[in-house]
Amino acid sequence: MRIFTIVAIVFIAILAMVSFSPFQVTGYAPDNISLPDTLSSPSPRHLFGSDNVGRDVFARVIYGARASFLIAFGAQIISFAIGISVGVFSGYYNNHWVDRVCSFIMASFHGFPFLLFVIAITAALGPGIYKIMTAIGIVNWVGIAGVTRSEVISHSEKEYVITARSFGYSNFSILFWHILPNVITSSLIVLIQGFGDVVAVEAGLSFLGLGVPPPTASWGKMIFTGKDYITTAWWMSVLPGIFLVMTILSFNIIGEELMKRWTRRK
Amino acid sequence: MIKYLFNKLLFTLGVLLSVSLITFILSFVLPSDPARALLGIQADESAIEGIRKELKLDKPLPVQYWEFLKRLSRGDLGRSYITNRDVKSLIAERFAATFKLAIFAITVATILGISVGSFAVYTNSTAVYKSLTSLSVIFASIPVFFLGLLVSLFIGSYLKLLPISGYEPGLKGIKYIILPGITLGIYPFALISRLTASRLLEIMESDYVKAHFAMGIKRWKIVLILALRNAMNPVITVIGNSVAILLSGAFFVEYIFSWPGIGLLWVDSVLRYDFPVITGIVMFSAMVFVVVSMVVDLLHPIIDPRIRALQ
Repeated sequence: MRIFTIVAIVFIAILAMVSFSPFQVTGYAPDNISLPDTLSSPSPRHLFGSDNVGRDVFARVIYGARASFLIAFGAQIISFAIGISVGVFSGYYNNHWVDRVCSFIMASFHGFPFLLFVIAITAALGPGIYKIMTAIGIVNWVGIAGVTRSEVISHSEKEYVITARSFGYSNFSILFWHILPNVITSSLIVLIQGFGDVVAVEAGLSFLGLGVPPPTASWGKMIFTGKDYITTAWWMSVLPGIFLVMTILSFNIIGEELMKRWTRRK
Repeated sequence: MIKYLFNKLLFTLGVLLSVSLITFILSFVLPSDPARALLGIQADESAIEGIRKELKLDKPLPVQYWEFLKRLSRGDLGRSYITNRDVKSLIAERFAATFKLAIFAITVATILGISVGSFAVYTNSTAVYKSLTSLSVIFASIPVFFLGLLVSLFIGSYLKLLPISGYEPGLKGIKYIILPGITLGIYPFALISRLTASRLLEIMESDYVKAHFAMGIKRWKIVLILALRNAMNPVITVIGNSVAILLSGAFFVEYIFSWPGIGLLWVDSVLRYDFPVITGIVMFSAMVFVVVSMVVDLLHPIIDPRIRALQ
Protein backbone atom coordinates (compact mmCIF):
# COMPACT_ATOMS: atom_id res chain seq x y z
CA MET A 1 0.00 0.00 0.00
CA ARG A 2 1.33 3.37 -0.91
CA ILE A 3 2.29 5.79 1.82
CA PHE A 4 -0.30 8.33 0.57
CA THR A 5 -3.11 5.88 1.09
CA ILE A 6 -2.05 5.27 4.67
CA VAL A 7 -1.81 8.99 5.34
CA ALA A 8 -5.26 9.49 3.78
CA ILE A 9 -6.84 6.75 5.91
CA VAL A 10 -5.23 8.08 9.09
CA PHE A 11 -6.35 11.63 8.29
CA ILE A 12 -9.96 10.61 7.68
CA ALA A 13 -9.97 8.37 10.76
CA ILE A 14 -8.67 11.13 13.02
CA LEU A 15 -11.08 13.68 11.59
CA ALA A 16 -14.01 11.28 11.97
CA MET A 17 -13.06 10.53 15.57
CA VAL A 18 -12.60 14.19 16.39
CA SER A 19 -15.90 15.13 14.82
CA PHE A 20 -17.65 12.63 17.07
CA SER A 21 -16.52 14.49 20.17
CA PRO A 22 -15.11 17.88 19.14
CA PHE A 23 -15.26 19.24 22.71
CA GLN A 24 -12.43 16.84 23.66
CA VAL A 25 -10.07 18.60 21.27
CA THR A 26 -10.95 22.22 21.68
CA GLY A 27 -12.08 24.22 24.68
CA TYR A 28 -13.85 26.79 22.54
CA ALA A 29 -17.44 26.57 21.42
CA PRO A 30 -17.76 27.12 17.66
CA ASP A 31 -20.30 29.92 18.04
CA ASN A 32 -18.70 31.64 21.00
CA ILE A 33 -18.46 35.31 19.99
CA SER A 34 -15.72 37.29 21.70
CA LEU A 35 -15.28 40.76 20.28
CA PRO A 36 -11.90 41.59 21.94
CA ASP A 37 -10.40 38.63 20.06
CA THR A 38 -11.57 39.83 16.63
CA LEU A 39 -9.25 38.83 13.78
CA SER A 40 -6.36 37.75 16.00
CA SER A 41 -3.71 35.82 14.09
CA PRO A 42 -2.79 32.19 14.86
CA SER A 43 -1.20 31.90 18.31
CA PRO A 44 -1.10 29.33 21.13
CA ARG A 45 -4.32 30.90 22.45
CA HIS A 46 -6.13 30.61 19.14
CA LEU A 47 -4.36 27.87 17.23
CA PHE A 48 -5.84 28.84 13.86
CA GLY A 49 -6.54 32.47 14.80
CA SER A 50 -10.00 33.91 15.20
CA ASP A 51 -12.57 35.30 12.79
CA ASN A 52 -14.31 38.63 12.26
CA VAL A 53 -16.43 38.26 15.42
CA GLY A 54 -13.74 36.62 17.51
CA ARG A 55 -14.83 33.00 17.12
CA ASP A 56 -12.02 30.44 17.35
CA VAL A 57 -11.23 29.21 13.82
CA PHE A 58 -9.80 25.88 15.01
CA ALA A 59 -12.98 25.07 16.91
CA ARG A 60 -15.05 26.02 13.87
CA VAL A 61 -12.90 23.86 11.58
CA ILE A 62 -13.39 20.86 13.88
CA TYR A 63 -17.14 21.41 14.24
CA GLY A 64 -17.26 22.05 10.48
CA ALA A 65 -15.80 18.59 9.94
CA ARG A 66 -18.73 17.28 11.95
CA ALA A 67 -21.29 18.93 9.66
CA SER A 68 -19.39 17.81 6.57
CA PHE A 69 -19.12 14.19 7.64
CA LEU A 70 -22.70 14.03 8.84
CA ILE A 71 -24.05 15.35 5.55
CA ALA A 72 -21.73 13.25 3.40
CA PHE A 73 -22.67 10.15 5.35
CA GLY A 74 -26.41 10.78 5.29
CA ALA A 75 -26.45 11.72 1.61
CA GLN A 76 -24.46 8.64 0.67
CA ILE A 77 -26.78 6.37 2.66
CA ILE A 78 -29.77 7.79 0.75
CA SER A 79 -27.95 7.42 -2.58
CA PHE A 80 -26.92 3.89 -1.70
CA ALA A 81 -30.45 2.84 -0.76
CA ILE A 82 -31.98 4.24 -3.95
CA GLY A 83 -29.07 3.25 -6.17
CA ILE A 84 -28.93 -0.36 -4.98
CA SER A 85 -32.70 -0.88 -5.23
CA VAL A 86 -33.01 0.62 -8.70
CA GLY A 87 -29.81 -1.02 -9.94
CA VAL A 88 -30.69 -4.49 -8.67
CA PHE A 89 -34.21 -4.55 -10.11
CA SER A 90 -33.20 -2.93 -13.35
CA GLY A 91 -30.33 -5.39 -13.82
CA TYR A 92 -32.29 -8.48 -12.86
CA TYR A 93 -35.21 -7.65 -15.11
CA ASN A 94 -32.88 -6.74 -17.96
CA ASN A 95 -34.80 -5.93 -21.18
CA HIS A 96 -38.07 -6.22 -19.28
CA TRP A 97 -40.25 -3.11 -19.01
CA VAL A 98 -38.99 -2.62 -15.43
CA ASP A 99 -35.48 -2.18 -16.78
CA ARG A 100 -36.66 0.18 -19.54
CA VAL A 101 -38.41 2.43 -17.04
CA CYS A 102 -35.48 2.39 -14.61
CA SER A 103 -32.96 3.08 -17.37
CA PHE A 104 -35.04 5.95 -18.62
CA ILE A 105 -35.26 7.49 -15.16
CA MET A 106 -31.49 7.07 -14.79
CA ALA A 107 -30.91 8.74 -18.15
CA SER A 108 -33.15 11.64 -17.19
CA PHE A 109 -31.24 12.20 -13.97
CA HIS A 110 -28.05 11.92 -15.99
CA GLY A 111 -29.39 14.49 -18.44
CA PHE A 112 -29.57 17.06 -15.70
CA PRO A 113 -26.40 18.95 -14.80
CA PHE A 114 -25.64 17.55 -11.33
CA LEU A 115 -24.88 20.73 -9.41
CA LEU A 116 -27.74 22.66 -10.97
CA PHE A 117 -30.13 19.92 -9.89
CA VAL A 118 -28.83 19.83 -6.33
CA ILE A 119 -29.01 23.61 -5.98
CA ALA A 120 -32.52 23.69 -7.44
CA ILE A 121 -33.71 21.09 -4.94
CA THR A 122 -32.03 22.82 -1.99
CA ALA A 123 -33.60 26.08 -3.12
CA ALA A 124 -36.95 24.33 -3.12
CA LEU A 125 -36.51 22.57 0.22
CA GLY A 126 -34.79 25.42 2.03
CA PRO A 127 -31.55 25.30 4.03
CA GLY A 128 -30.89 22.77 6.79
CA ILE A 129 -28.58 19.82 7.36
CA TYR A 130 -31.18 17.11 6.69
CA LYS A 131 -32.54 18.89 3.65
CA ILE A 132 -29.12 19.15 2.02
CA MET A 133 -28.58 15.48 2.78
CA THR A 134 -31.80 14.64 1.00
CA ALA A 135 -31.10 16.94 -1.93
CA ILE A 136 -27.66 15.46 -2.59
CA GLY A 137 -28.89 11.93 -1.91
CA ILE A 138 -31.75 11.99 -4.38
CA VAL A 139 -29.56 13.32 -7.18
CA ASN A 140 -26.41 11.32 -6.56
CA TRP A 141 -27.71 7.73 -6.70
CA VAL A 142 -27.48 7.33 -10.48
CA GLY A 143 -23.79 6.33 -10.52
CA ILE A 144 -24.32 3.59 -7.94
CA ALA A 145 -27.41 2.33 -9.74
CA GLY A 146 -25.53 2.15 -13.05
CA VAL A 147 -22.67 0.09 -11.64
CA THR A 148 -25.02 -2.19 -9.67
CA ARG A 149 -27.16 -2.73 -12.74
CA SER A 150 -24.28 -3.82 -14.97
CA GLU A 151 -22.87 -6.07 -12.24
CA VAL A 152 -26.24 -7.74 -11.71
CA ILE A 153 -26.61 -8.27 -15.46
CA SER A 154 -23.24 -10.02 -15.64
CA HIS A 155 -24.11 -12.19 -12.62
CA SER A 156 -27.59 -13.20 -13.83
CA GLU A 157 -25.99 -15.30 -16.56
CA LYS A 158 -23.76 -17.25 -14.16
CA GLU A 159 -24.25 -20.92 -13.32
CA TYR A 160 -25.10 -20.42 -9.66
CA VAL A 161 -28.06 -18.21 -10.57
CA ILE A 162 -29.30 -20.63 -13.21
CA THR A 163 -28.98 -23.48 -10.72
CA ALA A 164 -30.86 -21.56 -8.06
CA ARG A 165 -33.59 -20.80 -10.55
CA SER A 166 -33.89 -24.45 -11.57
CA PHE A 167 -34.29 -25.37 -7.89
CA GLY A 168 -37.36 -23.17 -7.89
CA TYR A 169 -36.16 -20.34 -5.67
CA SER A 170 -38.24 -17.22 -5.99
CA ASN A 171 -36.89 -14.23 -7.88
CA PHE A 172 -36.80 -12.29 -4.63
CA SER A 173 -34.61 -14.78 -2.82
CA ILE A 174 -32.29 -15.25 -5.81
CA LEU A 175 -31.90 -11.51 -6.06
CA PHE A 176 -31.30 -10.75 -2.40
CA TRP A 177 -29.63 -13.91 -1.08
CA HIS A 178 -27.58 -14.95 -4.07
CA ILE A 179 -26.86 -12.04 -6.41
CA LEU A 180 -26.76 -9.07 -4.04
CA PRO A 181 -23.92 -10.35 -1.80
CA ASN A 182 -21.82 -10.81 -4.94
CA VAL A 183 -22.39 -7.38 -6.42
CA ILE A 184 -22.43 -5.24 -3.30
CA THR A 185 -18.65 -4.80 -3.10
CA SER A 186 -18.39 -2.88 -6.35
CA SER A 187 -21.37 -0.71 -5.38
CA LEU A 188 -19.67 0.01 -2.07
CA ILE A 189 -16.48 1.04 -3.86
CA VAL A 190 -18.40 3.47 -6.06
CA LEU A 191 -20.04 4.76 -2.89
CA ILE A 192 -16.69 5.39 -1.19
CA GLN A 193 -15.32 7.03 -4.33
CA GLY A 194 -18.27 9.42 -4.24
CA PHE A 195 -17.60 10.68 -0.70
CA GLY A 196 -15.13 13.34 -1.82
CA ASP A 197 -17.58 14.74 -4.34
CA VAL A 198 -20.36 14.94 -1.77
CA VAL A 199 -18.11 16.80 0.68
CA ALA A 200 -17.21 19.23 -2.13
CA VAL A 201 -20.85 19.75 -3.11
CA GLU A 202 -21.90 20.40 0.49
CA ALA A 203 -19.09 22.94 0.92
CA GLY A 204 -20.12 24.59 -2.34
CA LEU A 205 -23.75 24.86 -1.25
CA SER A 206 -22.74 26.35 2.08
CA PHE A 207 -20.41 28.72 0.23
CA LEU A 208 -23.39 30.03 -1.74
CA GLY A 209 -25.41 30.36 1.45
CA LEU A 210 -27.72 27.49 0.53
CA GLY A 211 -26.20 24.90 2.82
CA VAL A 212 -25.84 24.55 6.55
CA PRO A 213 -27.70 27.46 8.19
CA PRO A 214 -25.76 29.70 10.59
CA PRO A 215 -24.57 29.62 13.31
CA THR A 216 -23.60 25.98 12.64
CA ALA A 217 -19.98 25.93 11.48
CA SER A 218 -19.31 24.65 7.99
CA TRP A 219 -16.17 24.83 5.88
CA GLY A 220 -17.89 26.29 2.84
CA LYS A 221 -19.48 29.05 4.89
CA MET A 222 -16.16 29.82 6.60
CA ILE A 223 -14.42 30.16 3.24
CA PHE A 224 -17.21 32.46 2.10
CA THR A 225 -17.01 34.71 5.16
CA GLY A 226 -13.23 34.70 5.06
CA LYS A 227 -12.96 35.75 1.45
CA ASP A 228 -13.70 39.38 2.30
CA TYR A 229 -10.84 39.37 4.82
CA ILE A 230 -8.42 37.38 2.72
CA THR A 231 -5.78 40.09 2.45
CA THR A 232 -5.85 40.95 6.15
CA ALA A 233 -6.78 37.66 7.82
CA TRP A 234 -5.87 34.83 5.45
CA TRP A 235 -6.35 32.15 8.15
CA MET A 236 -10.11 32.67 8.17
CA SER A 237 -10.60 31.11 4.75
CA VAL A 238 -7.33 29.40 3.86
CA LEU A 239 -7.18 27.06 6.88
CA PRO A 240 -10.71 25.65 6.54
CA GLY A 241 -10.01 25.46 2.80
CA ILE A 242 -6.92 23.35 3.40
CA PHE A 243 -8.93 21.00 5.60
CA LEU A 244 -11.59 20.78 2.92
CA VAL A 245 -9.06 19.98 0.19
CA MET A 246 -7.28 17.43 2.43
CA THR A 247 -10.56 15.68 3.19
CA ILE A 248 -11.65 15.50 -0.45
CA LEU A 249 -8.16 14.42 -1.50
CA SER A 250 -8.05 11.69 1.15
CA PHE A 251 -11.41 10.29 0.08
CA ASN A 252 -10.31 10.37 -3.56
CA ILE A 253 -7.02 8.60 -2.79
CA ILE A 254 -8.78 5.90 -0.75
CA GLY A 255 -11.41 5.42 -3.45
CA GLU A 256 -8.78 5.14 -6.14
CA GLU A 257 -6.72 2.59 -4.22
CA LEU A 258 -9.83 0.49 -3.56
CA MET A 259 -10.80 0.65 -7.23
CA LYS A 260 -7.30 -0.38 -8.30
CA ARG A 261 -7.29 -3.36 -5.96
CA TRP A 262 -10.77 -4.40 -6.97
CA THR A 263 -10.06 -4.35 -10.72
CA ARG A 264 -6.80 -6.20 -10.13
CA ARG A 265 -8.62 -8.92 -8.19
CA LYS A 266 -11.20 -9.32 -10.89
CA MET B 1 -26.91 5.01 -39.29
CA ILE B 2 -30.24 6.77 -39.87
CA LYS B 3 -31.95 4.42 -37.45
CA TYR B 4 -29.25 5.11 -34.88
CA LEU B 5 -29.69 8.85 -35.36
CA PHE B 6 -33.45 8.55 -35.08
CA ASN B 7 -33.23 6.50 -31.88
CA LYS B 8 -30.77 8.95 -30.40
CA LEU B 9 -33.02 11.88 -31.24
CA LEU B 10 -36.09 10.15 -29.81
CA PHE B 11 -34.20 9.33 -26.64
CA THR B 12 -32.98 12.91 -26.30
CA LEU B 13 -36.53 14.20 -26.73
CA GLY B 14 -37.72 11.78 -24.06
CA VAL B 15 -35.03 12.94 -21.65
CA LEU B 16 -35.92 16.58 -22.34
CA LEU B 17 -39.56 15.81 -21.65
CA SER B 18 -38.76 14.24 -18.30
CA VAL B 19 -36.41 17.13 -17.51
CA SER B 20 -39.34 19.46 -18.12
CA LEU B 21 -41.49 17.33 -15.83
CA ILE B 22 -38.86 17.47 -13.08
CA THR B 23 -38.58 21.24 -13.53
CA PHE B 24 -42.34 21.53 -13.33
CA ILE B 25 -42.48 19.47 -10.15
CA LEU B 26 -39.68 21.60 -8.70
CA SER B 27 -41.53 24.81 -9.47
CA PHE B 28 -44.59 23.27 -7.86
CA VAL B 29 -42.67 22.30 -4.73
CA LEU B 30 -40.98 25.68 -4.49
CA PRO B 31 -42.43 27.57 -1.56
CA SER B 32 -44.07 30.36 -3.48
CA ASP B 33 -47.36 31.56 -4.85
CA PRO B 34 -46.65 32.93 -8.33
CA ALA B 35 -49.79 35.05 -8.33
CA ARG B 36 -48.89 36.75 -5.06
CA ALA B 37 -45.27 37.09 -6.08
CA LEU B 38 -46.31 38.93 -9.25
CA LEU B 39 -48.62 41.39 -7.52
CA GLY B 40 -46.87 41.88 -4.21
CA ILE B 41 -47.97 41.28 -0.65
CA GLN B 42 -50.52 44.09 -0.46
CA ALA B 43 -52.57 43.07 -3.50
CA ASP B 44 -56.24 42.34 -2.82
CA GLU B 45 -57.72 38.85 -3.07
CA SER B 46 -59.82 39.46 -6.18
CA ALA B 47 -56.80 40.64 -8.18
CA ILE B 48 -54.85 37.58 -7.09
CA GLU B 49 -57.81 35.37 -8.04
CA GLY B 50 -57.80 37.03 -11.47
CA ILE B 51 -54.08 36.41 -12.02
CA ARG B 52 -54.52 32.84 -10.85
CA LYS B 53 -57.18 32.32 -13.51
CA GLU B 54 -55.05 34.00 -16.13
CA LEU B 55 -52.01 31.83 -15.34
CA LYS B 56 -54.37 28.81 -15.07
CA LEU B 57 -53.13 28.11 -11.53
CA ASP B 58 -56.66 27.08 -10.52
CA LYS B 59 -56.65 24.16 -12.97
CA PRO B 60 -55.61 20.60 -12.01
CA LEU B 61 -51.87 19.84 -12.13
CA PRO B 62 -51.82 17.77 -15.36
CA VAL B 63 -53.53 20.66 -17.14
CA GLN B 64 -51.03 23.06 -15.65
CA TYR B 65 -48.19 20.84 -16.85
CA TRP B 66 -49.69 20.79 -20.33
CA GLU B 67 -49.86 24.60 -20.27
CA PHE B 68 -46.25 24.68 -19.05
CA LEU B 69 -45.21 22.48 -21.98
CA LYS B 70 -47.13 24.65 -24.44
CA ARG B 71 -45.39 27.74 -23.12
CA LEU B 72 -42.02 25.98 -23.28
CA SER B 73 -42.55 24.94 -26.89
CA ARG B 74 -43.23 28.57 -27.73
CA GLY B 75 -39.99 29.43 -25.92
CA ASP B 76 -41.92 31.42 -23.34
CA LEU B 77 -40.17 31.11 -19.98
CA GLY B 78 -42.17 33.79 -18.17
CA ARG B 79 -41.04 37.01 -16.54
CA SER B 80 -38.70 37.65 -13.65
CA TYR B 81 -40.50 38.42 -10.38
CA ILE B 82 -37.93 41.03 -9.50
CA THR B 83 -36.98 42.88 -12.66
CA ASN B 84 -40.14 41.94 -14.60
CA ARG B 85 -37.96 41.19 -17.62
CA ASP B 86 -38.52 38.42 -20.09
CA VAL B 87 -36.55 35.40 -18.84
CA LYS B 88 -35.67 34.24 -22.34
CA SER B 89 -34.01 37.51 -23.29
CA LEU B 90 -32.26 37.67 -19.90
CA ILE B 91 -30.73 34.25 -20.54
CA ALA B 92 -29.84 35.09 -24.13
CA GLU B 93 -28.08 38.23 -22.94
CA ARG B 94 -26.01 36.39 -20.35
CA PHE B 95 -25.24 33.26 -22.33
CA ALA B 96 -22.61 34.96 -24.52
CA ALA B 97 -20.34 35.54 -21.51
CA THR B 98 -20.75 31.97 -20.25
CA PHE B 99 -20.09 30.62 -23.73
CA LYS B 100 -16.86 32.63 -24.08
CA LEU B 101 -15.58 31.58 -20.68
CA ALA B 102 -16.41 27.91 -21.23
CA ILE B 103 -14.80 27.80 -24.67
CA PHE B 104 -11.68 29.56 -23.42
CA ALA B 105 -11.35 27.22 -20.44
CA ILE B 106 -11.94 24.05 -22.40
CA THR B 107 -9.61 25.03 -25.24
CA VAL B 108 -6.76 25.73 -22.85
CA ALA B 109 -7.50 22.56 -20.86
CA THR B 110 -7.65 20.40 -23.99
CA ILE B 111 -4.47 21.71 -25.61
CA LEU B 112 -2.46 21.60 -22.38
CA GLY B 113 -4.02 18.34 -21.21
CA ILE B 114 -3.31 16.39 -24.39
CA SER B 115 0.20 17.83 -24.69
CA VAL B 116 1.12 17.09 -21.09
CA GLY B 117 -0.41 13.62 -21.27
CA SER B 118 1.44 12.74 -24.48
CA PHE B 119 4.66 14.22 -23.16
CA ALA B 120 4.46 12.09 -20.02
CA VAL B 121 4.18 8.97 -22.17
CA TYR B 122 6.86 10.18 -24.58
CA THR B 123 9.42 10.52 -21.77
CA ASN B 124 8.81 6.86 -20.95
CA SER B 125 9.67 7.48 -17.32
CA THR B 126 7.66 6.08 -14.45
CA ALA B 127 8.51 9.08 -12.29
CA VAL B 128 7.01 11.57 -14.75
CA TYR B 129 3.90 9.44 -15.23
CA LYS B 130 3.41 8.96 -11.51
CA SER B 131 3.82 12.64 -10.71
CA LEU B 132 1.32 13.47 -13.46
CA THR B 133 -1.28 11.12 -11.97
CA SER B 134 -0.67 12.39 -8.43
CA LEU B 135 -0.91 16.00 -9.57
CA SER B 136 -4.14 15.32 -11.42
CA VAL B 137 -5.67 13.71 -8.32
CA ILE B 138 -4.69 16.78 -6.30
CA PHE B 139 -6.03 19.21 -8.92
CA ALA B 140 -9.27 17.30 -9.15
CA SER B 141 -9.67 17.46 -5.36
CA ILE B 142 -9.58 21.24 -4.98
CA PRO B 143 -13.15 22.61 -5.00
CA VAL B 144 -13.40 25.22 -7.70
CA PHE B 145 -14.57 28.00 -5.38
CA PHE B 146 -11.55 27.59 -3.12
CA LEU B 147 -9.24 27.40 -6.12
CA GLY B 148 -10.78 30.59 -7.48
CA LEU B 149 -10.14 32.28 -4.18
CA LEU B 150 -6.49 31.19 -4.10
CA VAL B 151 -5.95 32.19 -7.74
CA SER B 152 -7.47 35.63 -7.21
CA LEU B 153 -5.47 36.04 -4.00
CA PHE B 154 -2.06 35.13 -5.41
CA ILE B 155 -2.20 36.25 -9.02
CA GLY B 156 -4.75 39.01 -8.64
CA SER B 157 -4.17 40.65 -5.26
CA TYR B 158 -0.66 39.57 -4.31
CA LEU B 159 1.24 39.66 -7.59
CA LYS B 160 -1.21 42.13 -9.16
CA LEU B 161 -0.68 40.56 -12.59
CA LEU B 162 -4.27 40.43 -13.77
CA PRO B 163 -7.59 42.00 -12.78
CA ILE B 164 -9.67 39.74 -10.51
CA SER B 165 -13.03 40.87 -11.80
CA GLY B 166 -14.60 42.72 -14.65
CA TYR B 167 -15.94 42.01 -18.08
CA GLU B 168 -15.59 43.67 -21.43
CA PRO B 169 -16.83 42.32 -24.72
CA GLY B 170 -14.42 41.93 -27.61
CA LEU B 171 -10.66 41.50 -27.67
CA LYS B 172 -10.07 44.14 -24.99
CA GLY B 173 -11.72 41.85 -22.46
CA ILE B 174 -9.05 39.17 -22.83
CA LYS B 175 -7.26 40.20 -19.63
CA TYR B 176 -10.43 39.62 -17.64
CA ILE B 177 -11.01 36.11 -18.94
CA ILE B 178 -7.64 34.62 -17.98
CA LEU B 179 -8.08 34.11 -14.22
CA PRO B 180 -11.63 32.69 -14.30
CA GLY B 181 -10.67 30.69 -17.38
CA ILE B 182 -7.69 29.08 -15.66
CA THR B 183 -9.73 28.34 -12.54
CA LEU B 184 -12.45 26.73 -14.59
CA GLY B 185 -10.01 24.82 -16.79
CA ILE B 186 -7.97 23.13 -14.05
CA TYR B 187 -10.42 20.30 -13.40
CA PRO B 188 -10.92 19.31 -17.06
CA PHE B 189 -7.17 19.72 -17.57
CA ALA B 190 -6.46 17.21 -14.78
CA LEU B 191 -8.95 14.73 -16.23
CA ILE B 192 -7.82 15.11 -19.84
CA SER B 193 -4.07 14.89 -19.18
CA ARG B 194 -4.46 11.85 -17.00
CA LEU B 195 -6.82 10.01 -19.32
CA THR B 196 -4.64 10.77 -22.36
CA ALA B 197 -1.58 9.43 -20.57
CA SER B 198 -3.23 6.26 -19.28
CA ARG B 199 -4.87 5.43 -22.63
CA LEU B 200 -1.62 6.12 -24.52
CA LEU B 201 0.28 3.90 -22.13
CA GLU B 202 -2.12 1.02 -22.83
CA ILE B 203 -1.79 1.51 -26.55
CA MET B 204 2.01 1.64 -26.40
CA GLU B 205 1.88 -1.98 -25.18
CA SER B 206 -0.04 -3.20 -28.22
CA ASP B 207 1.51 -5.27 -30.97
CA TYR B 208 1.17 -2.80 -33.81
CA VAL B 209 3.02 -0.15 -31.84
CA LYS B 210 5.78 -2.63 -31.03
CA ALA B 211 5.96 -3.50 -34.73
CA HIS B 212 6.51 0.16 -35.55
CA PHE B 213 9.24 0.38 -32.94
CA ALA B 214 10.86 -2.61 -34.56
CA MET B 215 10.79 -0.76 -37.87
CA GLY B 216 12.89 1.92 -36.22
CA ILE B 217 10.36 4.74 -36.22
CA LYS B 218 11.10 7.44 -33.68
CA ARG B 219 9.22 7.40 -30.39
CA TRP B 220 7.70 10.87 -30.75
CA LYS B 221 6.30 9.98 -34.16
CA ILE B 222 4.73 6.82 -32.76
CA VAL B 223 3.19 8.65 -29.81
CA LEU B 224 1.89 11.64 -31.74
CA ILE B 225 0.92 10.15 -35.08
CA LEU B 226 0.11 6.53 -34.40
CA ALA B 227 -1.07 6.15 -30.84
CA LEU B 228 -2.66 9.49 -30.03
CA ARG B 229 -5.53 9.16 -32.48
CA ASN B 230 -6.43 5.77 -31.06
CA ALA B 231 -6.34 7.13 -27.55
CA MET B 232 -8.69 9.99 -28.33
CA ASN B 233 -12.08 8.32 -28.00
CA PRO B 234 -12.50 8.37 -24.21
CA VAL B 235 -10.76 11.75 -24.12
CA ILE B 236 -13.38 13.18 -26.47
CA THR B 237 -16.09 11.92 -24.12
CA VAL B 238 -14.46 13.72 -21.21
CA ILE B 239 -14.01 16.92 -23.22
CA GLY B 240 -17.63 16.78 -24.35
CA ASN B 241 -18.91 16.21 -20.83
CA SER B 242 -16.80 19.10 -19.59
CA VAL B 243 -18.16 21.40 -22.29
CA ALA B 244 -21.68 20.36 -21.35
CA ILE B 245 -21.05 20.98 -17.65
CA LEU B 246 -19.28 24.31 -18.20
CA LEU B 247 -21.91 25.59 -20.62
CA SER B 248 -24.73 24.71 -18.27
CA GLY B 249 -23.30 27.20 -15.83
CA ALA B 250 -20.06 27.71 -13.96
CA PHE B 251 -21.74 29.11 -10.86
CA PHE B 252 -18.82 29.30 -8.52
CA VAL B 253 -16.29 30.75 -10.91
CA GLU B 254 -18.72 33.29 -12.31
CA TYR B 255 -19.74 34.19 -8.78
CA ILE B 256 -16.20 34.67 -7.47
CA PHE B 257 -14.92 36.60 -10.47
CA SER B 258 -18.24 38.46 -10.99
CA TRP B 259 -18.39 37.12 -14.53
CA PRO B 260 -21.79 38.18 -15.95
CA GLY B 261 -22.86 34.77 -17.33
CA ILE B 262 -25.87 32.58 -16.64
CA GLY B 263 -24.11 31.02 -13.64
CA LEU B 264 -24.02 34.37 -11.86
CA LEU B 265 -27.59 35.12 -12.94
CA TRP B 266 -28.65 31.75 -11.55
CA VAL B 267 -26.94 32.24 -8.19
CA ASP B 268 -28.43 35.73 -7.88
CA SER B 269 -31.91 34.44 -8.69
CA VAL B 270 -31.60 31.53 -6.26
CA LEU B 271 -30.57 33.90 -3.50
CA ARG B 272 -33.47 36.23 -4.32
CA TYR B 273 -36.04 33.44 -4.84
CA ASP B 274 -36.76 34.63 -8.37
CA PHE B 275 -38.49 31.43 -9.44
CA PRO B 276 -39.26 32.06 -13.12
CA VAL B 277 -35.57 32.79 -13.73
CA ILE B 278 -34.55 29.72 -11.69
CA THR B 279 -36.80 27.34 -13.60
CA GLY B 280 -35.95 29.05 -16.88
CA ILE B 281 -32.23 28.54 -16.36
CA VAL B 282 -32.71 24.97 -15.17
CA MET B 283 -34.64 24.18 -18.33
CA PHE B 284 -32.19 26.02 -20.59
CA SER B 285 -29.08 24.49 -19.01
CA ALA B 286 -30.51 21.00 -19.06
CA MET B 287 -31.30 21.51 -22.75
CA VAL B 288 -27.76 22.67 -23.52
CA PHE B 289 -26.40 19.76 -21.51
CA VAL B 290 -28.51 17.15 -23.27
CA VAL B 291 -27.86 18.55 -26.75
CA VAL B 292 -24.08 18.78 -26.24
CA SER B 293 -24.05 15.21 -24.87
CA MET B 294 -25.93 14.06 -27.96
CA VAL B 295 -23.48 15.80 -30.28
CA VAL B 296 -20.59 14.11 -28.47
CA ASP B 297 -22.25 10.73 -28.89
CA LEU B 298 -22.65 11.40 -32.60
CA LEU B 299 -18.97 12.40 -32.88
CA HIS B 300 -17.72 8.98 -31.79
CA PRO B 301 -18.45 7.08 -35.00
CA ILE B 302 -16.83 9.85 -37.01
CA ILE B 303 -13.59 9.59 -35.07
CA ASP B 304 -13.50 5.85 -34.51
CA PRO B 305 -14.19 3.60 -37.52
CA ARG B 306 -14.65 0.61 -35.20
CA ILE B 307 -17.81 2.13 -33.74
CA ARG B 308 -19.02 2.94 -37.26
CA ALA B 309 -18.58 -0.71 -38.16
CA LEU B 310 -20.56 -1.80 -35.10
CA GLN B 311 -23.56 0.20 -36.18
